Amino acid sequence: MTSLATLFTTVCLHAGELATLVVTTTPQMHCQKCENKIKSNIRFVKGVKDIQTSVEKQQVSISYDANKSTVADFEKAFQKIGYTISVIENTADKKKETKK
Amino acid sequence: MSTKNTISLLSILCAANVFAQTDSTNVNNLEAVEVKGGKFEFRKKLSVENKETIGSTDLLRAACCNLGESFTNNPSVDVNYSDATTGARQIKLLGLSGTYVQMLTENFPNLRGAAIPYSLNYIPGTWMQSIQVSKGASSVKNGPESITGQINVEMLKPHLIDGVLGNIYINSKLKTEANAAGAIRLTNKVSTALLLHAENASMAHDENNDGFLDMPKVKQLSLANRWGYRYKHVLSQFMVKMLHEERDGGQDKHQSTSDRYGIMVNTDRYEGQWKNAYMFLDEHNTSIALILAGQLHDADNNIGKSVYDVNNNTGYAQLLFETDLTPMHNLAAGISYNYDYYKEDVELANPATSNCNGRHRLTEATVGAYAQYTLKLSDKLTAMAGLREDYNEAYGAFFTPRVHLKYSPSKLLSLRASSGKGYRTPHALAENSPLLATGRAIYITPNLNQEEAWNHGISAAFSIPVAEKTLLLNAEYYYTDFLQQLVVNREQDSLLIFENLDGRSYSHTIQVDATYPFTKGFEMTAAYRWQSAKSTYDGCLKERPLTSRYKGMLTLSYKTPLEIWQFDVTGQLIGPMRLYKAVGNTDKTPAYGLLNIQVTREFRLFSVYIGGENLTNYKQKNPIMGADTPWGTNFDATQIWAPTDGIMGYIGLRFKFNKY
Repeated sequence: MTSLATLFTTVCLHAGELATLVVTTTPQMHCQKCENKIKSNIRFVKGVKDIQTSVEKQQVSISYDANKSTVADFEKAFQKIGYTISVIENTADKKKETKK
Repeated sequence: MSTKNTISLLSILCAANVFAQTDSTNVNNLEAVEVKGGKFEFRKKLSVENKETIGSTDLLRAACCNLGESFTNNPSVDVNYSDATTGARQIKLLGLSGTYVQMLTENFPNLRGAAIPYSLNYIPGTWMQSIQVSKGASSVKNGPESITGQINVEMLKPHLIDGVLGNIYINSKLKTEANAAGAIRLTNKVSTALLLHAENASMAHDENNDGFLDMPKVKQLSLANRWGYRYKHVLSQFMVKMLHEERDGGQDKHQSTSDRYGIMVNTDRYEGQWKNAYMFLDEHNTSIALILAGQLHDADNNIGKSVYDVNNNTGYAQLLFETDLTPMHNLAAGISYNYDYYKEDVELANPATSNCNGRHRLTEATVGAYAQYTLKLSDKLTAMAGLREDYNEAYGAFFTPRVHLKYSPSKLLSLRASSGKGYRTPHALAENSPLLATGRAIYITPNLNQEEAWNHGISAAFSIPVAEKTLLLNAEYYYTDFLQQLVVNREQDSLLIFENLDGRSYSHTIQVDATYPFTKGFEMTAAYRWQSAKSTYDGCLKERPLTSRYKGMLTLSYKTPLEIWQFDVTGQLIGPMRLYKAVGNTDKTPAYGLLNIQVTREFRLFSVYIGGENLTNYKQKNPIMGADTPWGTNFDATQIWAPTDGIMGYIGLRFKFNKY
């Protein structure tokens, strides 16, 4: 049983490199409708695992598989729905720097 | 999900009490609310009435091609076929037929009279924004006709449609449907929307080989045009709708030789509505509104050798005023006028033994006034009392009192009670035209009484924290007691009698339902309803025929974390019913189960859904009595208690092109 769990964990770890991208949007999000518009479209970018939005903080936080998508993919996806984004944080960059 | 999250305010620019009439609390400051999910939580916490909202997400959990298919996952509302030939369906609420549920579209009475038999097919699923089901005595604002409850359909609003929505559907019986809704905002104040619908079920199928089509061939075209105007304190909405429907059923043309028993029902319907509201005294949410509506309904029924042509025209006007006197006290008052015109041409198959042949004209005007007061003591106690007085030119003056109470001692519990009266004018043939699919002689008692009933109900809604989630538990009891009623008596062989109630008629309904989200995205609802509905037939108090003693329902819904996949399963257990005519040695039907499954895959611009209905393939054997002798007095296609169609698969595509 223990070895099965270990195997499952190993497979999951190698399956993808989970990163978090935090962005702000222009124009700003004003309401739940704006949040829904972002969530219902950005979820189709490859490798996206979770999306959190906050009108209060004016931030969108995206968990994604960095092996499947890049920041440029998100920029394009946001542009399709009328937003440009500014990156506040991308943990995929930090990981790359650490590897260097 | 919190209430705040549950409610998505799609438009908050104007306060419009008049556009959300059924909730007389401060909540109705919202012009439009969209409940995307968690309908039970919404019901339990906000409304003084026992009201469930079927939101936009719920409407996508099944194919929901039209209003009648929107209650698949709802434990309170049953939708049954009226007969085995015309495809007409009727709603049942609290164990009683759909005529006792007041149908509203956007909070004014609609789909009444001659429209009732096929009305569940008249509103396409894609056109609907949400449905509210209120059980028991309802608000007096919409007239006296509600007895077991109200069902209100909110249609898509021009300013709330983000571009173009559409749906294409085909099922294994080769029924196809296509519908679309598109809107454009012409200026900041004016928006318009066009809604289209077409369906075609042209394949003949007779799975039980009785010579009759299991379902009629149906062609329907409908379109609606809406206009919305909003500027500062003024709101106006205008809509026109047209519908044409053809039903062609009965004996299979290819198998029958001569003297075929055919069914042809052609319907043309036109609707118009104009709602205007002016808001002032913002601190009091005060509004005054005028609603004008009209419908022209022309249905030509040819059922066997019986002909029933009906024209039913209706005009409706309501002027209403509503204000919060203080945050604790809300007052609504209004006057209404309703005019109905019926022209019926009746030629029944056996004129020698029926008494209703000929041309009948009827006009009926009803004028009424109402006042409704709501007291809200903190968040714990809400009391709503409504009184209305109406004068009907046929039945004179009548008084309708209704009262509602809601007490929430804590966030975990809401207790509700309601009591009220309802009145309606019955129209024997107009509202029951599918019952002509019988060889029985038809008698209609002259001078039918106005139907009159009391409804009393209590309910308790619990929100119980269990394992960091909330278990929503609801228990309710309703009692409906008729003082006057139109009784459809089929107890004697060879006779179908529409007569006044002579004795007692009532229904008791107890329902318990529970909803629990086991994990994020996975929710289960279980419900059980027991009911006893009895009427007096030929001096004997008997169970109302074709009304199940109980119903059980289990729905499972799972959405993947990003809601890209959705899986929905609905199982139902339908209890035994009394047959008005025994089949073999029994006058009881067996209990049976039904199973529906749907899988939906979302894409960025569209979604694909695939599913199956009646996967248990349960069918009523020989649904048409005397099918081999359709011109005999034993012929009867109206004793229907289970599906006549077997297993059915379907696939569909919904698309949405947003304006970005």
